[in-house]
Amino acid sequence: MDENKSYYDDLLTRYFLGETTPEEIGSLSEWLSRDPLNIKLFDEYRQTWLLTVKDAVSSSIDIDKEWSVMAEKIDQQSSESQVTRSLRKKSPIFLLSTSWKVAASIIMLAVIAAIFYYTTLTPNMVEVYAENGNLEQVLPDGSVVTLYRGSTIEYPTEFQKKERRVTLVGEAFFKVTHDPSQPFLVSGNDVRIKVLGTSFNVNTREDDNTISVVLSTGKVSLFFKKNESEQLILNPGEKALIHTDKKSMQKSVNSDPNYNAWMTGTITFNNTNLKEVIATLEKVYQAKIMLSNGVSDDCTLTATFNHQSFEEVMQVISMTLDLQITTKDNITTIDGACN
Amino acid sequence: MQQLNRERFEVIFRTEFKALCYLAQKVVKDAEAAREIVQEAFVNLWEKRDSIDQDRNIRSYLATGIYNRSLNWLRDNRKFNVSLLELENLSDSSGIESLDNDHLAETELHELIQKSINELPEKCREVFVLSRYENMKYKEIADQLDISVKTVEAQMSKALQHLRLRLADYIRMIMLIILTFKQ
Repeated sequence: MDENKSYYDDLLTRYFLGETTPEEIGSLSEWLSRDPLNIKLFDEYRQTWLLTVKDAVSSSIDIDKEWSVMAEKIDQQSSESQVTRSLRKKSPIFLLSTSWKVAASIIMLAVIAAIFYYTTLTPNMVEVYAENGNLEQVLPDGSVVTLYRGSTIEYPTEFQKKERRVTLVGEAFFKVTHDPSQPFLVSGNDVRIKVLGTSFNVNTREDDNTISVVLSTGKVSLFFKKNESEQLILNPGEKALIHTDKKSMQKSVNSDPNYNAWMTGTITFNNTNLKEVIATLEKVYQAKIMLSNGVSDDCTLTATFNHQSFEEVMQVISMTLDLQITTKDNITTIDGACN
Repeated sequence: MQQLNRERFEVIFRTEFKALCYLAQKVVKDAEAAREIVQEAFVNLWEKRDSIDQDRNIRSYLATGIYNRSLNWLRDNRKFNVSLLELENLSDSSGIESLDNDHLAETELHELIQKSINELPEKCREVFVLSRYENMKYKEIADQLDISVKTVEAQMSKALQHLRLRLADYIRMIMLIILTFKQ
């Protein structure tokens, strides 16, 4: 036991000092999930480490030195831009003046500055893939996107253009920061979703040719690429089904209170048919549930779950509806008469 | 709309740089990388100085950008782990607040930490100082002191253990404050 303890003490120290390998980080995460006492130890190390960071940052950063490094960088940029500006003002007559060499070198500098600007202007794209579970990501403008497991989002490291553009494959819930000067645009297939400041759920997985968008708050406009004039506006509580093959869109009132339960953790059932309950639970918990033939078709459930584990939810259903629930090999089976 | 000129930029830099380094380091756990990330963010701010809205909160703009770049750094260096980040509650990018409020506590803390470090055995203290204040990696320390990496590891663990015990009361007080705020 003592040896084990010392191994994790070392591992924890290495983690906070940035010395752990990706594999070690994985094993640390696994160790933490085993016992809340491990988390407590983690926290104590973390607090200790943070205090040393605070102290180190306060005492070992020489702000004058840092500023002189920064000043050099920005002054370099400013003088280059000045050269480009002054070159534009020069009249052709200048080229005929005495110092031909000077003119040539200024033009050279301007060309180099232009290349510098063009290469720094192309943004680097970031791709985020929710491999192991739902994943939350903060975008460069502060917007937050929560990806459903298996989904991918792509966006630039800097939103530099006149729009904030992201590409989505899969499903995600967006909380977009309000900025009318730079509308937020989500692309999935050929569909564009333009938002001003809002939160909404986009599902590009419904079936191969359908995309669904449900709006939580704010306002969005949906249109097909290059066809912004034929847009569909969604208000909170409304749902749009977009058929990419027929290039059509329909609007309806959203009747599924659990459309983003996978993200919020709150599931509401109100006289909901058991089949639908199962479909929702399968999605939220990413589980496989089988319904036995013996269970009646009229079985309905009224209940609300808030951040509860799959086992707890199953237990409640079992007791409320008088059903037998068994799990084997990751498949949960529901059996019984249903009350 | 007030222009972000060089003077104002320098003021912002001098005021916010340290706190932003702290924020970045919380995420990436690498002092050099943190410093570079913050420097890059400031260069970027300077480049966009004409187009940035002056009424914006520049500090939170920088903090958000730095937080995001830090996560990307973790991703690029294969050190990204969702559950650990969740445990560290790093989804709250307003960690920048934490350096602000305690100028008084800072000297007190500094003294306590210095005292605790001085209590360490000599080799241990040497290793700790090189790591925390010279920002050296384990391998670099091993080379400089002519010892094995395993020894460096052991000494660092020992040092952090000792600090953990000495700062325990201080930590308990901080955690209490955090908890009260959450209520």
